[in-house]
Amino acid sequence: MAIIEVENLVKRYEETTAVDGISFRVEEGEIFGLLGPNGAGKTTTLEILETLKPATSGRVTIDGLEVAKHPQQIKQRIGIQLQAAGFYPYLSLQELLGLFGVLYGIDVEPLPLLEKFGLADKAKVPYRKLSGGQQQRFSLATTLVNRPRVVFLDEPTTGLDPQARINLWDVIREINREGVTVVLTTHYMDEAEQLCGRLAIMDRGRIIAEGSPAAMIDDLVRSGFQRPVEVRPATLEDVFLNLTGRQLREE
Amino acid sequence: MKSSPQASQFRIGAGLTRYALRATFRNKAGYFFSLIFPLVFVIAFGLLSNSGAALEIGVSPQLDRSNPVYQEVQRLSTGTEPQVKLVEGTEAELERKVQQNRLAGILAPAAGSPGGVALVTASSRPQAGTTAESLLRGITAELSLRDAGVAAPAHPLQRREVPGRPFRHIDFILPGQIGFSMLSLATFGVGYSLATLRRTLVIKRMMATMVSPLTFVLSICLSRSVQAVFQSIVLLAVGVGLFQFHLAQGWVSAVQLVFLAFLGIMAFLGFGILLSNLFRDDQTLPVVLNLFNLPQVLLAGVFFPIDGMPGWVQAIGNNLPLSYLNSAMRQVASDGASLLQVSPLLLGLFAWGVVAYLLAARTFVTE
Repeated sequence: MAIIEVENLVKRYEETTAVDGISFRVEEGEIFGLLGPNGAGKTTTLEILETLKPATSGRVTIDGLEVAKHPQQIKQRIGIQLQAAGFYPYLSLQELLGLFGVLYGIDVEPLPLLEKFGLADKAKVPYRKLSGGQQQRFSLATTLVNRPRVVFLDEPTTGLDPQARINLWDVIREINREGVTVVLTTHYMDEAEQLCGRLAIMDRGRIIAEGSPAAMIDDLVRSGFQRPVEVRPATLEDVFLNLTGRQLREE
Repeated sequence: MKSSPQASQFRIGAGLTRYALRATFRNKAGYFFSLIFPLVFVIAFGLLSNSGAALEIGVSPQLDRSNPVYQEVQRLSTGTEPQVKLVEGTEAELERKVQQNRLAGILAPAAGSPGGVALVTASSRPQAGTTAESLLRGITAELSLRDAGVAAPAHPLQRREVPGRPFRHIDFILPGQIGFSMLSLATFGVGYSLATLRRTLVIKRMMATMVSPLTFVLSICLSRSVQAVFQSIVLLAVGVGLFQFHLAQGWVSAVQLVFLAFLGIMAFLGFGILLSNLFRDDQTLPVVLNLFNLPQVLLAGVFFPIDGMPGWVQAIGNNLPLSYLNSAMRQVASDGASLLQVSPLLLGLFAWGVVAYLLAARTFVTE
């Protein structure tokens, strides 16, 4: 069953068309990826789905509710992570989760939630004292405060070191295992391949391909495509991780 | 959600206010402009007001110290509240001080009459010179009459005093500094921090939750107002505790002052929000905020009264948001005016506030 349905979504600014008539569906319980270069319209699309921006035209429903008509109900059902998430820098993680509880009108138990993201020992540390990876993980933790059915993650691993990325992938998979549908945007193909059950590739405001990563690769290979260079049995990332370990680093 | 949207916004707002307040009190840098600056000024002007009341007169080394006029002047320079302060020094030193306006005049021997004195004054400072002159005229006249044996002069001058308070810098400066503190809290405290919260996507992230933009803004305003009340209490306590700041009706005036400060910040906050809506660039905003604050600091009676300025400048100065607040606070503190008596001023403040909030609401953006 589709939990998100997008039909002919258009977002026009004065001079540019950021989203140019896209349609897609996200099935309940999957991890869906929106891929594309900078300026492709990924973030704008996400922000319309998140009720943060009005669409010029088109129809978006989440969990059977039309986003434009029921923003408050939608907000209760979704969790969001922004590309460069921001929080009151002087409040501790525990306090920030308390604050988000207040903002949703519910009681939150901060410690179990922080535990899940490996941040229990940082409960009393102010947000501004965290490392980049910790800030991203905390940002992810805030998306779960209202026990959402869908979480939207905008470039969740941009700017992180390889260890922190791998750690974050595990966290995202775990969120998904608990039944939460995940929609994410990324620039990294390996990330899309690792995480996403299905993905859509956007360019210049349009969706130019959609499907599972494996099926898309198969399609390309069937069309006669060949990689120009021999694939080595290991990548530089394998070398790096082999040397430095997969253990998460905390600065 | 079962509860009504209004009720839940109220609870969200109350909770957000609590957390915003906690964040505010932890950010020590935030106090700097809005509290430490006014506090330093209050202390500096408070110290200033304890000296400088006495007339400073130099005494020439050539003057015979048994001179009766000198003896009388010397009598005036003693006691708990001396009218005169005598300054010794060489001829050249004293003369330089008169020229630099640091002395009202010099007492020197009078040519050809050993019982009299000469007063040397500077042409650049007629007021101080005149004061010194009239003081000495009184003394010399009295001495002359006494020497002539006139016990009851035909044209006596009787002086009666009504109980009054001497002018003290602290009584002027403290209300002005409380007003200044409110203004900088509203502009830099709220205007600038709203811009920062916007830039770091804090506001956008919160807009994805159940809080409405209006609730969010009101919570920010409320948390800053609590900080404002706290700051005005600190400034008042320093003024009263260290410098005997005059409160006409005692603690009643103090409570009224804090309440006025609260009304002041509520009105100024509209401007802080408005300016941060209009000038979203990090580099421009502080400049604009300063451009908004500076004329008020100069013309709204923060450091000095503007009675001596041309009429049109006074017309502008007396109608700035900050001058309404400062005037109201001074009338309450010095004259014991009631809040009802200062209500015309509060109306002026209210009018500014309404204009600011209407424009701020029209231009509000979350990112």
